[in-house]
Amino acid sequence: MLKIKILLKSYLQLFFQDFLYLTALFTLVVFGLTGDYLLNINPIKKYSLLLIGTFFLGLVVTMNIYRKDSRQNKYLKQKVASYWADVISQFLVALIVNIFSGVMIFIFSLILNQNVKMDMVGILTLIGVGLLGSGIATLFKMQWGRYTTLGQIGVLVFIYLALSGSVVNVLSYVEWLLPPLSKAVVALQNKPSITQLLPITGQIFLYALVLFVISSLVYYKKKKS
Amino acid sequence: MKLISVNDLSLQNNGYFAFKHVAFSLSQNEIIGINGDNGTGKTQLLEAIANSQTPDSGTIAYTPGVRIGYVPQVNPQLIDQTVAKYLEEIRRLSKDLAVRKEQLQGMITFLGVSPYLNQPVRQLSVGLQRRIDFLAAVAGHPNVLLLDEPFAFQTSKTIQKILSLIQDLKTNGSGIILSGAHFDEEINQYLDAGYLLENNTLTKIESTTNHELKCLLVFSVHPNSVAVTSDIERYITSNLNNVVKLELPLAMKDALVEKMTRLNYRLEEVKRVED
Repeated sequence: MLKIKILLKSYLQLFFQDFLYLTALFTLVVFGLTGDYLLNINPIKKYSLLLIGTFFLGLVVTMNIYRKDSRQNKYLKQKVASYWADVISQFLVALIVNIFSGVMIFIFSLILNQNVKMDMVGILTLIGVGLLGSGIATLFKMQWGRYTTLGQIGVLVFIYLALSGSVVNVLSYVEWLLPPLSKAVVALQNKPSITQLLPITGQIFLYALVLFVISSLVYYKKKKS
Repeated sequence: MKLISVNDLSLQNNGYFAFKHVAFSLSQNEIIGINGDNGTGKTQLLEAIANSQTPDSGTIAYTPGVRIGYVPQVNPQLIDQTVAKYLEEIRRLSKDLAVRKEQLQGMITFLGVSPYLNQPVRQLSVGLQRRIDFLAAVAGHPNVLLLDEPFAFQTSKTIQKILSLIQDLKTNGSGIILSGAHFDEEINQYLDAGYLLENNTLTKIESTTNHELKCLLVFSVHPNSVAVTSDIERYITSNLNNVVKLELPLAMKDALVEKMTRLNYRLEEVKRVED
């Protein structure tokens, strides 16, 4: 527990060492407050844009954490000497930050109302897409080590797949393999109800979890070889 | 007993050798010094031993149970915690194997870090941060200590104290590797073996050994003298008729005299001892 506590604290400190996270979160919050009037769109369209924004928020801030981690925490990891404590800490910090982002963005989007189920699904989906972004950043954190190009290309491919999976016809056959961000956005365009996103939200969480699990195994093998 | 054996180790960076075919071993109760000009690969060699850098060929054999404490040349970690909290947390990482809380407190005081205990580590000067890195490395009570330029940014008094702590660790069974561009005579006296890393290869320096220069200190006991501590006890060669004699490396003379004076013993005589 102490090892996880030390690493978790260190990751959380990295989040607030610069203003990237707070600036990006503030931008999304302001967009939530003003988007309807600014772009003359309905709340569902605004929510779709917030889903995409939250995905990129999760992706970029998590990538930034791994960049700083690779530069600053090399010797701390040596002292802690526990690969699994590190993996758990990375997942926990992604979860904590995305929960905070999801709740803040949804509250200030002015979509919040007395329909508790809708509010819950709205917040959970935002947390889920943020976690999805963090999962992709975790899978390709090799870009901050020896495999810079491979990591960067991997992120770009996953961004493309996350946004186009339900839009490009060729990809429809393997849709279940793709990050389900576009699936949620398309579902909202077909039926403008946030509540109906619940099954897709489950799929998003599962996908993010699988990304974290795969990452932990991939990097564990690399460490052993 | 051997703690680490390095065999035919080579490492390349972008096609250039950092070092090649390096071989040496580190045993219990041994201090090794590695000298070499800037950029000769000392840091990379220590990083490879500390497991932070994967060599291209060769092997490093660790005796089971080896626990490494490493003081890097530059620690890029930005530590927002206070010195006291940070060191205590690092100490607790090693659980039962770590030094006791009081021992760590003693080392903190000995190295002059006590006045800074409530300050965040990142706000301290580079020299103090390096002392804290040293304390963090020894807090886990490692049996192998790797020190990369440990004396940079330190006064001669602090260097003396660090050497005294290193000597204590050695006496208690640890093996220590010191790396630096240059060690002066005072530091060389603590070394059991010295190596030079030059042109990518490691060669042994035959003349560096701490067996050459020793001294005998004679103290008189007074009514207000208090019992000597265990770190001094090991150097006592006789304790008769209110006269205590200690034999120790010449480089440790000043630190020991200071300690004994604090315990109310009076220095009567200093003699040079040849092996």
